[in-house]
Amino acid sequence: MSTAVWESPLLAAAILLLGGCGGLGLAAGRSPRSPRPAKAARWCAGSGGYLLLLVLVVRGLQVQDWPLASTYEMVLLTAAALALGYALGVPPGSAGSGGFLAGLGAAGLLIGALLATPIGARTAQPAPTLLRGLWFPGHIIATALGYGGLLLAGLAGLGRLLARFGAGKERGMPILRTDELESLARRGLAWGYPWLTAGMLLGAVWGWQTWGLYWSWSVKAVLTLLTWGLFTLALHVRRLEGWRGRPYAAVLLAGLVALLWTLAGADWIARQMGTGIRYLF
Amino acid sequence: MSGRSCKTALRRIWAFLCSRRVTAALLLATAAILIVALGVPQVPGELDAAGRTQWWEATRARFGESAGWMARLGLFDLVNTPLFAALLAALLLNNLACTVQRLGRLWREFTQRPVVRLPDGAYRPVGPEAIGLSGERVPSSEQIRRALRRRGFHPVEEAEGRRYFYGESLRLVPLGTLLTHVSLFLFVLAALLHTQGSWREYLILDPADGEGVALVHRPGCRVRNDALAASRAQEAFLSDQVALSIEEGSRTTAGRAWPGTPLAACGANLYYLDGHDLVLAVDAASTDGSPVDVVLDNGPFLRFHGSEEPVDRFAVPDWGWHVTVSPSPQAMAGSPQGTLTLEAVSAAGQMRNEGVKVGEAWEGPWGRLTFWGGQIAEVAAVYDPGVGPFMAGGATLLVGSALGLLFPRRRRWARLDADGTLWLGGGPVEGTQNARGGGRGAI
Repeated sequence: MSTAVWESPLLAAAILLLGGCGGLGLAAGRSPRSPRPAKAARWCAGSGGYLLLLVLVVRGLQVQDWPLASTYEMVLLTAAALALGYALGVPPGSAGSGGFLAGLGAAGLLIGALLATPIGARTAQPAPTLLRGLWFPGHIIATALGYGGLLLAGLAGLGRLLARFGAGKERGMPILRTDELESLARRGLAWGYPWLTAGMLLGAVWGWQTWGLYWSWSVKAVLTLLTWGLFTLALHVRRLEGWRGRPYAAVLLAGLVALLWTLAGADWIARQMGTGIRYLF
Repeated sequence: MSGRSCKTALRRIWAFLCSRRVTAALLLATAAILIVALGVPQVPGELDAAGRTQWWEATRARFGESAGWMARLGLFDLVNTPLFAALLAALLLNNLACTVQRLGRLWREFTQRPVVRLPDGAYRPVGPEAIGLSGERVPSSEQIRRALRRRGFHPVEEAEGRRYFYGESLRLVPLGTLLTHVSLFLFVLAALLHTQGSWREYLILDPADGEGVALVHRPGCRVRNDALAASRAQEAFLSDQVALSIEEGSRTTAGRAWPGTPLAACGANLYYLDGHDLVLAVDAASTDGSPVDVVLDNGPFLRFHGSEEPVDRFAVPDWGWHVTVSPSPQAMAGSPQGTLTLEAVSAAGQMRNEGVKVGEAWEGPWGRLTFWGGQIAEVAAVYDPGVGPFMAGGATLLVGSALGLLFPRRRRWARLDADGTLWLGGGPVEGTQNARGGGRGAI
């Protein structure tokens, strides 16, 4: 069966659920006393995340291999990590801002992946020989989990910067409460940072086993180090006098931008630089 | 006075070295350099001398006259510039100061008894929902005590009819930030060992070359591609791997390397990077099994180059045969499913077979032709003493960041009066409605 036939409805359902999570998060923020929109937002995020995992599992069964051989699949996994990280890891008190940001963030990732990948290129393929074994899938899964958490933190930083423009204005964004956003950022950093570190370590092991290189200054490695370094900076400054609030949020936003480039832009940069290296993702 | 001002100056220097603002500034500067490195091609560190020369030539051709001043500024090799080295040295110094500071804190953490009771003014009255009890009915003192125990509090003192409780999470958690800082020293050690002691050699191993290739950095060690012998032994074409013989002095060992699974030999690792072209040996035998001579056009083996149309020829004089061999693209790619197309011309006429695989025989009333083969293998021999410290640093960083971020340190104090009033000190209790997840996390 063609990939598009069974996958498209599932992805459409996931987009609707994740978009619904964003909308329900907005509703939860506007009516904080009612727990129902918040619960529904978490349910939508969780369901959307599990649907994405189901898509990946079926793709894997089709090729009898790990479904982790393209940017498209990596983005699906990252969107699932973001949605499930919010649904399972964030306490109900943050449902307003968290649901809004996580839902729209995950839906945005998914829509971006679908727009950027032609239908013909979405067919599941077995991984090239160099990407088989256990180290590479471990590296990808740990990195995706890290991206999920750090995306949440980065989106919280973006929300914090938007909240400034909304505060005190009637047409602002009242659901973006700074205390919720800081809690969201802290939780996103808490589980995203160790997972990204684990992903980098497993990537080093895979590189050593495959090429005898545990580190290189390639585009992908530099982007990953930049992402990791910006979130390390965020961890260092979050309680520093003069850095709290908007400066801290700006660092998180910079980390978010670096992360998105690492996720989807490494190949483009490498081509512009004429390195001759092509990245699957 | 000079002694006091000296002490003050030293304290200021120490405070500067330990300052998180300094860390932040250094991290920002490092990030800026990394962003520049993304905009300018960086010379790959793993290239050998010939590779680096090629790379520089291509870069000069691409950037023209600008290449000169860009190279002088170090833009093509930013991580080896004095500026980057100075940044890393400053980060290291800052890290060292923070680590020493943490050691003192950790020592106090483990040697001093924790404060288990606060001054009475530090407690605030709370309702039973603060420790997860329902607020609908007034709970008894016993219920409150049980709820406190469930939340990790334990009784520490009793005075004037008041019971004092204390609860804390892992005391090892501050160790997490110490570990993350220690990991940086391991990375620096790895970088030093890598710079001083590592080497990498790229070997092109032809299966037809019986002598093999000697390692420059390991005199007395020769590596040979044994694909033909392995193919003959297994009656198959070995794909996605290379069979190697390693001679170390008078000792010869055999082994295989696959993508992702190097072969340890000569004190180094041998990595199979790629295979290309095709080298075949051909055996002819008559119907009774006795060997028949084969005469090849171009040396003792059939050779097929990927860059040209792959064709080679041989003759079997006893049969009056001239045979043309063409491997399929799959065979040229090293797949065991790849086939050979054989066209045999003799006085009796012409025969063709399109489906013979390497390791299989083409049999007929004339006898049997069998082909054994292997690819030219690209192998990297690598020795790097920095790998151990690097992996140890990575594991230490992972454990430290997980400890510090996923298990934030929490300390809670509670007081239960004789009249059943509950008081709490510190943040809200975890797992209750009022908890927003407090505690001091990493760094």
